[in-house]
Parts: sequence; C-alpha cells; structure tokens
Amino acid sequence: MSVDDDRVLALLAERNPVPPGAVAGLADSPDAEALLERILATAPRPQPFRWARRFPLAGMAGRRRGVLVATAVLVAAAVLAVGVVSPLDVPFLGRGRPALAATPPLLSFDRSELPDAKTLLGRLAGRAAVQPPAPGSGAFDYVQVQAWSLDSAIGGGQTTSALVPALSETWTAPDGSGRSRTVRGHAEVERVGSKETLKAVLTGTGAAEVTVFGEGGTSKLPLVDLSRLSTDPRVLAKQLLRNDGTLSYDPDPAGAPVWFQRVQNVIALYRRQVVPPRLQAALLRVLATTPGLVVLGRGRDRVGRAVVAVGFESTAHGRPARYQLLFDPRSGVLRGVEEAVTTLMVNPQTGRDYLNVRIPALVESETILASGHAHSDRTPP
Amino acid sequence: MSDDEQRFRVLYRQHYARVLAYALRRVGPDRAQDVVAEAFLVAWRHIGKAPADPLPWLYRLARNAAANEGRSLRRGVRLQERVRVGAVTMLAGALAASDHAERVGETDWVLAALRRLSPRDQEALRLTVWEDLDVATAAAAMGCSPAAMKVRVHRARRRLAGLLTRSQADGSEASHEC
Repeated sequence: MSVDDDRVLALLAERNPVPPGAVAGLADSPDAEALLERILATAPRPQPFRWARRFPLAGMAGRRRGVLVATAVLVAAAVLAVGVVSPLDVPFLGRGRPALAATPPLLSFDRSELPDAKTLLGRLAGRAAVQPPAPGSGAFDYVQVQAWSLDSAIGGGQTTSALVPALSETWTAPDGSGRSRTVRGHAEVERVGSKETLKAVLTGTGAAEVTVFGEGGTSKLPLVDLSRLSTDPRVLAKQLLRNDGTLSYDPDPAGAPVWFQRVQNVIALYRRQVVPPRLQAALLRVLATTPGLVVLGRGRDRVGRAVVAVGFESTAHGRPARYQLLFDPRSGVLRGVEEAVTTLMVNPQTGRDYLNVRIPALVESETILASGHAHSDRTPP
Repeated sequence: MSDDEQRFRVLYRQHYARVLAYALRRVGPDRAQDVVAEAFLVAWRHIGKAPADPLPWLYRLARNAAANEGRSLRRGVRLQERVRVGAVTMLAGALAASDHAERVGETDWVLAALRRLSPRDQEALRLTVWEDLDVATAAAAMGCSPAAMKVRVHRARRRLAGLLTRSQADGSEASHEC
C-alpha cells in the first residue's frame, strides 16, 4: 500500500513533538521574564568607540558601528547567570592595575619568493589533487584538533581574560552519530576583573568532556555528503553558499559577507571530516577567489610543521580581525586557522581594550593535527 | 525605556513561545533554552534590523544558535560564547510533550523516515507542518525564495511518502516472514 502525499502531512502533524498550545503562556513564565531581563541588561549595540577617529580602519565603520565584540556581548549575559565564587578562589583580585593579557605571539612568515595568493593556491591545488587518500579505513571520520583561545568574560564593566588550550578528537559516522572527546586544559588567567567574570571564564576548564552524538537525547550531527560536492570550483563555490541545500552546516555568523561564509564552510569541512584530495584541490581554487587574500609567507605552525600561509581581514566576527589559513606546502592540506584582532576597542569604563590585549593579538588558534578514517569511535586511524 | 527596548520587549513576549517550541522540536529540552537565549540575545543586538514580521528572522537566529550549539560540542572551545541559563525549568506540559515525542521517535516509523531526508528537506517539512508556516514565511525562515521553498516542500513530501511506502512494504514482508 502506498502512502500518498497528503497522508504524509497528516502522519507528520500527528507526531509534532511540541503540539500547538503546549507552550502557550510560557512567555509570561518567571523563567522567560528572567531571561528577558538578563538580555536587556546587555548592551544592544556598542557605543561609538574613542578610537574611531584615530585609526584608519575606522573609515570602514559603516558596518562596524553597531558591532560589539561577540564574545563580550554573549559572555556579559553569561556572567549575569552565574553564581559568585569564594574569595579564596580569587587570589588575583585587588592587585591594582593589571597587565595586558600575554597572548601567544603571532606566527611569523617569510614572504620572499612566493607568488600572489591566487597563483600560490593554484599550485597547492595541483599538488593536492595528486595526493593519496587520507590514512585509515572505516565508517568514522576522525579529526583531531588542537585549539587555543582567549576567553574573556565581561560584566559590570569588568573583564576577566584567560588563555584556554583544548585538544579535541571527533569520530563521526555518515549518519551523524559518533563521539567527541575534548580535554580543555587549565586556564591561564591573565587578568581578573571580578569574581563573576572569573567564574564564567573558568567554567569547564581543566577537565575532559565526552559527548556521544545520537544517544541520550543528543542530536546527531550528520556529515556533509562529499560525493555531492563538485570538483569544479565554479560549481563548488555556489554549493558552499548557504541555502544551496548541499551543505548541512550553517554559516558562521549569520549576516556575514557571502565570501566569509564560504571560507567558514570550507574550514568547517576540514574541522569535521576527511576531505578527499580532488575536493581539496577544488576547495583551494575556491579559496583563491577570497577578496583581499594575500600571501603571508612560509613558516611553522604551532606544532612545528612547515606551512605556507595566506590571510585576509574581516569584521564578520564583530571587530576587525586578521585570519590566517595555514597549508601544508607539499600536499595543500589545511593545517590550521588563526584569528587575530587588529584594532583597539576601548572600554570607556576602563580606558583599556575590551579584551585586555595588546593589538594585534591572537584570539583563537586551531591546528588540525590529524584527519583520517577509523573503524570505531574509540581509536584513531 | 528606549524605543529599542520597548520594541524588543514586545517582540520577545509575542514570539518567545513559538521560538521555544521551535528549539524544543530540534534540540530537545536539555538544550532548547540555551538556543532560545542565544537567538533572542542576537535579536537584541540587532534589534534595529528586525523586520516588520520578525518570526522568520527569529527562526533563522534559532537555527543558527542550534548549529552553534552543535559546533560548540564538536570543537570544545569558545565555551563562554553563549548564554548559560541554568537548568531547564519550563512548565511541565511542554517538556512532557517533548520527552514523550523523543521516546516515541526512537521507534516511530514516520520520524525514522523523516530523519533519512536531507537536513534541508527535514527543515522544510518541519517548518510547514510543525511550525505551521505558509510557504512564503517558511521561505523567509530558510532564506530562500517562495518558489524554491514550494518546490522543496513538494519534493520533500514526495520523498518522505516514498520512504514511508517502502517502510510499510518492508514491515508487511517482515510480518509475512514471521
């Protein structure tokens, strides 16, 4: 017996997990009211920054006005939601004017004897296309990423900043089931603003977290069907845009320029799954079309591997930043991504940068250590 | 109270329940309130850009927030970049309904077939059937044209019908074997 189209809708409607009316009136609940007040306690949009007339980049400010450090805004609300830690846990409070956060130095590169970015990525694409398949076999895509970030919590005009390293391993089956294990290292607190902001920054550090996808109520995280992605760069560039229907990933962040979303989707592919050589070649040719892309040069990544780097600037994450993409010069494989803020944003209440850093400052680094296929979600390839 | 705040309060109270239902249907009760919080926080940041009919826009923000949740799980970094609202303490009715649906969904043949569709097809059907949106509003929520949405819903419905038909046939054969 066949199921006709109309019957499909009826069957689906019967299985609505939250039937109409189930949430009626919840907007008036105490939880909803409390959330509303917490959100309203954060700034809706930034005030004009004092640096706006001092820095050339401020000339771009049509977009930038109305932009606040994303981390800061979101964390401000987080800070409002956390409790207060014991003074014994806060040895740094009250020690006078704090030093700037000692963020890791930016990577250095040698630009000599390299062509322009488009030519360079074209050469890398040629090398990528003839690489052997990724190591290992099995149904699971395995990716190991070493990450580092400057986590800052801002609340009540106070900022706490901490350097937080993390090592994550993710095993994902094609249907989105799988497992991840993240070891978040001990935070190196650079500056303490208040007990509340310190508590917010330290939440979850110094611990390992295992998440199983598709079990225990956790959503599955399906992989992109790479066989549907074209190796023709012109077609692939369109597929990498949102709403094409090919990618299941959503762009980050919403409202960013199309080219930025495309780059983010490329990075997301590498972050989650094993990218075959010919597709890597096409991705490199797509990346070569990124506006403002420049060659940074040859150098070493955070674990000492030889890389060649390209970079671009964007305000898509809330404040002017420089993004660096690091590639293996022999295979064209994406080795890592770094983000550095490039322009001062002064907190009017403190007279210092919101993130308490010396500009330019690295705020996030991801190094892809390994990528391959595995037979189980317990072992690497 | 500023005009922005007044506008946001109205928007929040009018649409909180529907955004919550949207989140519950997609990420379950454990994560729904975080998704709602992040969606409305972003809405507050961009209240000046809120369209006259903000519901599709809010759904898009919630969808991005749900995706960010997944990304956070995968990457294990940027843990501070979302609103933490503590334990879910919403009214029991909504949670019970959602919990029940999750339990049923583990074995339900219709939901199992739905999960076999592409994420975009699933979303198209959920928006039009569960969220009860018309094609134009669902299109706005997914960021595509109404024409494209109409085609997607039609195809998704046919694909789901095909899967259900095959599922029934398989079940029938299995019962004969027994």
